[in-house]
Amino acid sequence: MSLIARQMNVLIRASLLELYRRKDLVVVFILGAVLLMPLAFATPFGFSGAHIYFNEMALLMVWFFSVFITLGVSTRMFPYEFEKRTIYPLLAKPVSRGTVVLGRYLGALSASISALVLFYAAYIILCGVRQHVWFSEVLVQAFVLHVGLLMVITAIGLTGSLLLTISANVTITLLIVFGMLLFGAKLPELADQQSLAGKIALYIAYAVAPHTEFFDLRQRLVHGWPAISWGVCAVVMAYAAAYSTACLFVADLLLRRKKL
Amino acid sequence: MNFAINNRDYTLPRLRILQTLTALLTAVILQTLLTFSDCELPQREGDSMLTLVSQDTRMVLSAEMMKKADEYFHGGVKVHNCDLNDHAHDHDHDHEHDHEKDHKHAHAHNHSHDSEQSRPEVGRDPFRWINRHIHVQEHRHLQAARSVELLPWVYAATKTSPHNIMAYESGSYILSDMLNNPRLAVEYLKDGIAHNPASVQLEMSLGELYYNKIKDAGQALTHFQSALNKSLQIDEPDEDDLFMRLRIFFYLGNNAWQNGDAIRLRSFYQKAFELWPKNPMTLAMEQWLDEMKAGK
Repeated sequence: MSLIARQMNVLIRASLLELYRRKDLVVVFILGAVLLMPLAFATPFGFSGAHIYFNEMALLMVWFFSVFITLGVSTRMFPYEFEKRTIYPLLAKPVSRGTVVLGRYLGALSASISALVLFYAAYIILCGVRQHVWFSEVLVQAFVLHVGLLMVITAIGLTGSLLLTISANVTITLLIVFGMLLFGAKLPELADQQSLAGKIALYIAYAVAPHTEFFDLRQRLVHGWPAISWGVCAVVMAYAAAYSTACLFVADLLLRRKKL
Repeated sequence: MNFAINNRDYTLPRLRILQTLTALLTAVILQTLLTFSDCELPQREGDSMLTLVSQDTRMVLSAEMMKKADEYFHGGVKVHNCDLNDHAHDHDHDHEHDHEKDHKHAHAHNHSHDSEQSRPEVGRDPFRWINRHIHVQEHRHLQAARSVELLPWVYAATKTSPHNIMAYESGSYILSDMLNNPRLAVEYLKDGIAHNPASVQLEMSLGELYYNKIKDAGQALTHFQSALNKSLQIDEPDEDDLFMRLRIFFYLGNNAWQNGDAIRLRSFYQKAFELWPKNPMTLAMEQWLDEMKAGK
């Protein structure tokens, strides 16, 4: 195994251990169960057999919880390292700052993906038990694109953590992620209704901000629409990879310039 | 900023002064606003400000839940000019009125309309191209057998705000027409009337349900009469109220026609004529009168 691969391995393992040590996942699972249990047993007007609302709520929770876990992992890494001064022995070793950024990114991403796998497993079990439908092509695509979303959020969170405090970083990243999820596709139409300055600002946001709405296949999955083509899926994943790479370049630049 | 003078730190005392001033200023602003609200804003006797605000909030939430039900009806797609309420307002009589808010009387699943979401050209925008592929662009209507999927939202909407009359209307339509359970729809509408005793619309819907679905003319007549009494109690009826009144006259006239009661039919026809002389419902009543005169 090459030196860089071994270094990455160590950093990834440390991130995974950190996530499971903090027991955030346990809290999230208990919260999810508390919220979903009443919905699972609801029979409005005495009719059982309504599944869409349950699937939608469960998937919405998967979305919320995965975003919060990802942000929790990615935004805390560097601030804690600086606070506890563990970054100094790390940088004293023959590890480049770029490797540290990439290692931390891959560590945070793998921790987030591991949590996502658990969430989707819970979702599949819940829906499978209720509806006797276990797997579908859209479900696989939804998971793949969700991984793409986590790639982008982790990169933004990690980059932001070199510029802002943890709370400011989390707040701003959440605003960007959910703002774009809700309004990303409508930005050109909104821009056309604005004055020149507003139009320019919104078009810049449209070009630069992460299009989190690309990763949202909940509508297709929940309402039973057909799967998208795998070509489109690949394009969206390429977008996620490109956006994350750009963010990591900025993070690398920031870490290089940071006075330690 | 350094407030140290003669080695003494004045930061804390100054901050406390600032805090006190802010608190005082807030108190003055609140006092002014409350005085204004006492004098200028319309008040409803018996309702506190908190009750009014919470009622409004519940109504907004309830309306959002109905939007969600409508979205489910269209396969998870938000469609602006084809909503569940159009279907809920489906009436089982053969006319097409010229009312401004005409609902065209479509029947579920076999109507056509240009309700696809407006689609701006993709052009050279790759982001728009991706969005077009990711998010569903067309819509479909939920099959009647699967309309049970709408019930959680309708149920939640009326539980959130029992004053959401439209939710009761839509719910009764789903139960009676889509799930073929008019008895349950009757119970639901009765619950709606209990929460909204002044609602002409709900009383009318209950009458229609008895008349068209359950075929119980006696019960239907009771509710049409009750709807008419409620309608006549409205001080300044608007166009919708008058149209509702016309519909009540139409049903009462229809009942009179079926029972061969020409005097009652004429009475309802005259009232309908005063409201809307050229309306298809009025013209239908005129035709029944002619038929009765001709001894058919």
